[in-house]
Amino acid sequence: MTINTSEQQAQSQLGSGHYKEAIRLYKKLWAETDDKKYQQQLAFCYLQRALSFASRGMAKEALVLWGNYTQYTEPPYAAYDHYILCLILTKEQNKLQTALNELSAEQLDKQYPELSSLLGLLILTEQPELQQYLPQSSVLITQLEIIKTALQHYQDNKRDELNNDLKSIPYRSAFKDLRTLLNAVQLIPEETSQAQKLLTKIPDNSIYSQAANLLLSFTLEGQELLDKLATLSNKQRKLITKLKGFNKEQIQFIDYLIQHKDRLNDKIKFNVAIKYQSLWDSDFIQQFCQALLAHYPAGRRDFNKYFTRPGVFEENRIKALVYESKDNTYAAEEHWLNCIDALKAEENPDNHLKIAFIQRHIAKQQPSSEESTQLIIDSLEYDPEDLSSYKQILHDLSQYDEDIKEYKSWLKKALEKFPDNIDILTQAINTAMDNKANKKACQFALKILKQDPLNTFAKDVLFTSHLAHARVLITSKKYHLVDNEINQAEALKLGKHYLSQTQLLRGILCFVSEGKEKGLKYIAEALNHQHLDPVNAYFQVAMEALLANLPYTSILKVLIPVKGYLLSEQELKRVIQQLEYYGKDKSIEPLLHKALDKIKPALKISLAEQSYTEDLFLSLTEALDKHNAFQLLRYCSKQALDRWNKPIWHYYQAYSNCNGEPESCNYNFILRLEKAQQQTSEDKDKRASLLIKPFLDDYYYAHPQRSMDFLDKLFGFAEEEDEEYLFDPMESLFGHLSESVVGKMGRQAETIAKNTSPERLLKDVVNGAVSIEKVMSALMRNPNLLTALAFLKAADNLNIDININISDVLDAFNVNQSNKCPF
Amino acid sequence: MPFLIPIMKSPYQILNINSGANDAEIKHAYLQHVKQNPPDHEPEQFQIIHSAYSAIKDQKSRLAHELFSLPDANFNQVIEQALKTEHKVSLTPANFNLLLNAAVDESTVQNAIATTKK
Repeated sequence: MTINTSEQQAQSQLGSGHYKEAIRLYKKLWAETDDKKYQQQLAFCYLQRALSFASRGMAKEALVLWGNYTQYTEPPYAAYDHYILCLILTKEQNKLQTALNELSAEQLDKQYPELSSLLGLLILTEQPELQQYLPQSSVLITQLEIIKTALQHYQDNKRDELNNDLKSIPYRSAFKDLRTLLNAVQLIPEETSQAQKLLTKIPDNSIYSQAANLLLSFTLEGQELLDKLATLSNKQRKLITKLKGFNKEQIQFIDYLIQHKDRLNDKIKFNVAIKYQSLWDSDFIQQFCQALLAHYPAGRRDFNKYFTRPGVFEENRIKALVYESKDNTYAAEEHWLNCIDALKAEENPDNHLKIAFIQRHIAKQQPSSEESTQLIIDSLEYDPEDLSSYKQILHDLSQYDEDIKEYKSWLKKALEKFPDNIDILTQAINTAMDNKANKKACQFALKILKQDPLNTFAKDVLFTSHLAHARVLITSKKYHLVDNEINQAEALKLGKHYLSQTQLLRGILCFVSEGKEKGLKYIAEALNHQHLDPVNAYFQVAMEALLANLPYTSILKVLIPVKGYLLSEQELKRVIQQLEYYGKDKSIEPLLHKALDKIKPALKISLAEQSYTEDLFLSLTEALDKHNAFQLLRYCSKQALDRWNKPIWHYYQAYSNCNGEPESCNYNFILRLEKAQQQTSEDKDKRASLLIKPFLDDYYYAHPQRSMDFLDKLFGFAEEEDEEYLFDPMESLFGHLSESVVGKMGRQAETIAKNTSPERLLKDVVNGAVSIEKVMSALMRNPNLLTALAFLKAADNLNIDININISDVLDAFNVNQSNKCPF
Repeated sequence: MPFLIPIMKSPYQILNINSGANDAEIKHAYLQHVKQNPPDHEPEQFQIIHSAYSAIKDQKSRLAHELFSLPDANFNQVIEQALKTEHKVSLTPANFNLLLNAAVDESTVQNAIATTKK
């Protein structure tokens, strides 16, 4: 190998930090050439290797290499501070003294700031003797004297002198961070947070950063302290816990937690609480352990050993809440019921409210509203003054026509209990209006206005009532009394739109009482005043005439014909408003349909030709639906479906085609709706889903055969099974029941299937009658067994006596019951 | 894993009142918090405050809150209580010296080597 090649190799090794190999090559080169430059390179390599060892904490090895370095070079040596730092680390005192003696003041103060800081700290703490070996003319020694004086002043509690000393320490001093430390320590304990702020100013690479960290630990409390202690050495931790004044048990508690820091699970938390329980107030730690049992049930034995067992109520309450937190409301309910029993057994009147609360709480979890309402009704026995329960009961009972009698009875009770409550009065008004009891509705409205004179709903009710009465007076030809009613309606001052309504009625009054010509003039004036488009005018006049039992064709003659008129968005909105207004009284729906017929051509052409928004289409659809205007609804939904192929329009198409009667819906529409229902979940279209689902439910209710197919799909059973085999046991079990009962059970079973896992259902229904393994094996043979069990549970939930028990079901599905489970 | 675990605050903690506060005190605290977090400027915070207030505003709601809340297994509180000392401890000059001495070990020198420019 040539010299050049060797040199290149050596340089390359040096460049890549492979100092050992570089040293070998340079040694060889130097031996071969005696060239001084290779000697210098050799020295450089030794120095780099020494520094590399030093930086890895291998101070002894670094010092050996340093020795090699000095053999190949002359003073002044490079990186002399590193050499001294290694000597400090290896505690080679003699060599250290010699090296310090050789340091110049300039080196110490200007070239080696880190070494200077460290020496300052060592002199102040464990190695004060080092001071004598340092150049006495150095700035470090001068400032060391100042800081020593400062420490003495601190010792003597001479704050002013201390602060003056600290002020004389320059910004770039080796003691600048010690000054910050001393400033911080003076703020403890009065201004601890200020001290903490100051301490954060000491950088992590400062010689004083550990001291700052220790001082900061001293200022911390609770979890923050524990976090900090975990970062300290054992010796430092012992010191801080001692300075904080912790007792032996507290220190053991800290050590235990630090030891288990990385696996601090519920078990460890529970055990630490038990082990060191004397550290806390007994009630506090018992409560903590009890709460933890929810997540660490294995601690129950220890809990019972060390603490007073909680009462039946509390034990069940915790269990119920734990089950709820795991979304198992079914299991939770059992424990809530136990809570109620425990509270009843105590015979403490204070418990009544708790019972009521629990009943209302579990009412929310009930799958059927029937059970939920009953629980709320029951709760009033214990908390009879609860307004929200009355409201909830009224709301629940108002949902189903079959509950109307009960609803009325509860409305009466609610009115007696809360005679001035606006919500109850509003409900009463709506009920009175549905029953055409206008007088009653007005009484309730007046009651509301007494408390809230600006209540527009009550005013609206009174206005409608006055106008309705005025129309009755017109039809009974008591014309002289009409004016008074209209005046009373006007006196309510509801606004311009309402005023035009009364003006129109005055026109009609004039038409019947003072002559047709004068009346028509009045009507025309009233309509002009309202600036109505022809379609809205036509509709309004037709409605008013029909309500007053007048021949509306002759009145309509005074108006512009509407055929072919295209409604603007605003005008269509007005039509919807009019539908809303006149549609409030359900009994006049036939009149509404007649009036709608008059404007149907204009509506149809407008829907076909105008570019209305989907929202407007939807508003009109809802208004038409509300008033059972199915013919127009069909047209409107078809137009909308052509424009927007969305689930909601599929729903309205199916709905309007069967005139709102799902049971008579064409099966093709049902299939489309099934698809649309799937689409709603993809589109997250809750509104459409809320319409489609009950529609399909009602359809399946009316067609239980299809309902069972649906239930099988729900449990995930394939349809391709042998049909005869699938349905025979079902027929034998439920064939004797009426279609409506099967339908009702089917719906309930569907709810159960959604809220209960098949395993849970099996366990609940079979309830030890036979081993679960046997049922599971029968279920594998015929999956319809699960449907049958769901039906059985449904019948039980609905309190329907179907004369079938679990044994019959198991027989029908050939489940061997000879070896019954002992439990 | 730090010992300081973020936990769900109770309505009392949110409103910064003790669990024995009465209706008037709770309302006062609620209004103070709403003043600091008006709904138009801090809608989310306001919602939290409002929910907390609704949960404990009167005797009846407090009873319901108590009934349907799991006891608080707040380990932070356990640590807090366990490490409580009788009074605030001050640091004497002698202790400061101990602390300064404890801050010097091998790692201090290592730190100096690492920081020193090569």
